[in-house]
Order: sequence, then C-alpha cells, then structure tokens
Amino acid sequence: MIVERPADPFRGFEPAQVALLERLVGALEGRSESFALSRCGAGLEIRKAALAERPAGRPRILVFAATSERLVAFFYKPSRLSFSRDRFSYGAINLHPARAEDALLAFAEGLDYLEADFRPAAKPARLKRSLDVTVPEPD
Amino acid sequence: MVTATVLQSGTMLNPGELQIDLFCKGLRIGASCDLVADARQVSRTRAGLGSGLELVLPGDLKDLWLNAPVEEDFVEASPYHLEKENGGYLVIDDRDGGRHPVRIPGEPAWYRARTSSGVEMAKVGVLQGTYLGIYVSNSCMYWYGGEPKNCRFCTTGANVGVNEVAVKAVADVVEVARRAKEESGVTFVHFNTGYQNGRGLEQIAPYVKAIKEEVGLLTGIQCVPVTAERHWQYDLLMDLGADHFSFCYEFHNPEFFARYLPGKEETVGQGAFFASLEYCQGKLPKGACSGEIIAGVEPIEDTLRAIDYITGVGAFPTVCIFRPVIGSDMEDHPSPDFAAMRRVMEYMYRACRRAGIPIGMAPNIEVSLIVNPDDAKYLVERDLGFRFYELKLKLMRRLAMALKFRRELRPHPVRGRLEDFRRRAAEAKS
Ligand code: SF4
Repeated sequence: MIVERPADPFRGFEPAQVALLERLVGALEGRSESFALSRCGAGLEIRKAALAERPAGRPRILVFAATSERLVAFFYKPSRLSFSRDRFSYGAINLHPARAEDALLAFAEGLDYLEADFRPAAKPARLKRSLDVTVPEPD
Repeated sequence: MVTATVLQSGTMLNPGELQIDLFCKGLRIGASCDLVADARQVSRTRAGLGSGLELVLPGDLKDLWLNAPVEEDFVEASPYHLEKENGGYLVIDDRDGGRHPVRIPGEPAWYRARTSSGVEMAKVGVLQGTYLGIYVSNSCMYWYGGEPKNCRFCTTGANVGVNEVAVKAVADVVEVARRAKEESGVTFVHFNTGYQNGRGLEQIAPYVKAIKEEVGLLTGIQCVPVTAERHWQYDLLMDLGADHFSFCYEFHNPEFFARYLPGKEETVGQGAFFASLEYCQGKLPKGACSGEIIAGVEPIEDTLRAIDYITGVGAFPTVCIFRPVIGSDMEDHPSPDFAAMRRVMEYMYRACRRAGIPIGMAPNIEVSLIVNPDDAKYLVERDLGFRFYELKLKLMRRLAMALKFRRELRPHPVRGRLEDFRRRAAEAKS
C-alpha cells in the first residue's frame, strides 16, 4: 500500500510513460508493505515508509525517464551524511512502456528487493549493476 | 616519545594503531559535527575500497591520513564517533572515553569550480589523501556483459554515471590538475582505468604527457596489466613521463584471486600482474612501483607472503585493509580484525626496511586509502636500527628532491611521442 504520495507524482513524464507509471504505482498499492512516494529531481522515488515501529527505509528506487522509450528504475541508498550527495548504487532495471507486462514483472522483482533491504540473496535477475545512463541529480 | 592514547584499561593505542582500528571499525558521525562546512565531500569516484571521510591523525613521527569508513553498515557498531568541540574535531572512543584530536581536511575551493568546458572539477578528479586521483575513462569493462566479472569488493562500475562523469577530456584533467597543484599543493596525480580490454595504458598515455608538459607533476598509473608481448607499452609510458606503476593483484592466494577477481582471472590471470610488476620495477628506480593487495580476506599468511614477494622484487607494498563497501558484492563480508591488521602492517614496515625499499620519498604524497609503508613506523620499537633507517630515509629524501622531484614538478617536455604509441599498437595489431 502507499501511505505517502506527492501531489503530482508524474509531472514531466510523457503520456506513454505515465500509463506505465500508473500501473507500477498500482502494483505498489497491491502489496502489504507500506511505501512512501516522493518526487526527487526529475524522477519518482519509492521507499519503505516510516511506521510507528520503524524508521523509513534507507534503500530507494528512483524511477526516471532515460529516453521517451525507456524508464529506468535505479536502486540506491543515499548517504548517511547530511553533507554528502553520494548515492550508493545497487544497479538498475529498464522498464519499457511498449512492453508493459514485462516491465511490471521486472518491477515486481525490484519491489521484492526493496522490501528485502537490498539483501544480496534477493537481487533481481534483471538488475544491471552498471548503468548506461546518467542518473538525474536530486533537487 | 610515542604519542599514545588509552584504548581500554592497560591498552595504549598510538596514532598508527588508531589508524588501523579506524579502518577496521569505522567512524560514526556525531551530531556536533559540521562537516558541510568543514570537510571534503565524501567521494566514490575511484576504483576499489574508498568511500569514507578523510581525516588526519596527528603524530610525532608523521601525521597519518586516513579515509575512515562512515557509510557502511558495520560502522553502526563502531566504538568511535567524531565530535566537534571548541572549533576542533575529536575521535571519541566509547569504550573508555579516550579522546583523540584529529584534523578534518577542508574541501578545496576548486572542487566546486568548473572547467572551461563546464564540468564540475570534483567530477573530474578528487583528492585522496594529498594526491589527485583521476579515473580517466568509462567504467571498467568487467562490469559489462550478461554476467559481470567485476572484482567483488568494488563498486566502481555501479557508480559511474551516478556520482561522476564517464569520460574525461584531457583538457579538463589538465585544468583540474593545475588548480589542485596551485591551491592544494598536489605533487602527484594517479590515473586509473579499470579494465579496458587491454587498451588502458593507451588510453592513459595522452593524460600523462599533458600533465608532464603542461602542469609538472609526478604521475602514477594503475591499469590491469598487459601480457608480456605488449610490455613495450610500459616503456612508451615511461618515455611519456610515467613515474610510477601500481599493480592491484589484491590476493596472493591464487584461489582467492580467482574467486574474488573473476574478471582479472579470466582475462589476464595472476601471473600477468607479477610479470608486469617485475618488468616495470626492473626498469625504474627501487620503490617506484607497487604491488597493491587487500588484507583481511585471504589468510594472513598469504598476505605476508605477498609482502615478501613485492618487496623482494624491489617494489613497495600498498596494503588496503578490506572494507565491505556499501553496494558491493562483498557488503556482507566481515570487516577485518584489528590485531591481525596490526600484524600485517608491522610486517610490511619491517619487510620494506629489510629489503631497503625507499619509503616516503616523494614530497607530499599521503595515500588515505591504505596504511602507507612509512605510516607503519608507529608499529615498531624506536631502537637504534629504527633511528638509523629513519636517518637514511631522510638523507635519501633530500637527494631525491634535488636530483629528481624538483625537475618533475616543473612543466617540461617529455621524450616520448603519442604517435609512437599509436604506431606500435597498429603494428602489433597487424
Ligand atoms: S579492475 Fe576490479 S577493482 Fe578495478 S575498477 Fe575494475 S572491477 Fe573495480
């Protein structure tokens, strides 16, 4: 389920991308874990929400548009240090709006990984460790 | 006098030991710290094990530079935390309340400046300790392909495009090196490529020539080695001004080498590292090359054997203490034990002394990711032999400054030509 969401989660995305994003967000709604959504730079960021019994999770997924044909789900942990802009990459999964069913399957594996706090054993088969795009800077 | 602080009742830690313990246990950042204003950006723009906060531990023999782990999960359990008091910084040990004054090197103004082409300078190169580190080209090829063959402790390929620009222009590198020399007193620039399908040395060549001719700095090169029939590439790089070659073979035990460095095992093998190290060291002054290893993963006896081998060929050992870097495949591997690492570093110092390796020669080169061989002087008794060796090193340093380094630190033409590199490469292909 989603317990926090921004006012305009899909701002700046193209219509075909928004159609896929709506389905990805629907996938989040269908899970028992509580997620927080926020805007981060040019992307939409997902993480485990803060609850009474736990703080918000450090692992995050940033979904952003690499091209008009491709969204990228970037898996990372932010730095613990307030002054550092570092993001610690765990890899990325490509999500193609034209192949929505495949994208949904890949995204579901990614959510399992997020729920497992990026434990190595839960690494999705489709996760690419090296990136072929520059990840947009946060705001 | 040895500067020492109480670790726990009856146990004294001198600066060298504190450096090792911080590498092993990491450092929590206390709420009193104002690192935004006071520290360098924590950066991951290099291959390998770096990711932490740069610190300087003052000491009576020398100040020690250290890149302390601060991001990794094991740091949560560290007894050490950093606090700011009265404008200065202290590392406080919760086990006994021990308070160790430290210096936090500030961020140079040039980090945030932009090159003429508009690239933020810290995305071209960053200081690691007191030298400039530059990862010259696109990510290491071991990271690409269906089943990545990256060294399992490394996160470089995962972070290219996230925290740094992928390809660096020679002109940008020259501008950054010039600012780093003028404003940060840098004397040494270290180039690294990771694996580039055997083209790493060729890629580095124009940068080395430009730095020598336009800036005037000592230069070091770290690439996956080429096979013996291409050792001529090292000769050409020496002609272009390369002063130092380091060979990261990481593990002396061949089984650990194969298990944790699958790309290196598959493409060149451990033997290529030995052959290239011996070749380059054979052509350069003693102590000009280094064999780089990681302590804390393979059995200690293997690490000691590595030190004997490296010093035996006249090179110096650069020994990293293993760090289970956040985001790496070895993130769950335990951080090493202090006593074992102390033993390794003391052994390293004694081995350098035994083999007469001139350590700490070059001016103002402090590497923060390792325990430098001359950092480890804190780990031995200060007897007559120690004093004699220190005196000898001091005299050698003076001589080296007069005979070599003064010239190298001025821009000067080099005898090598880039065309030779291209010509020989084309000939070799045909
Ligand atoms: S050679 Fe190994 S340590 Fe160097 S960048 Fe490539 S994967 Fe990392």
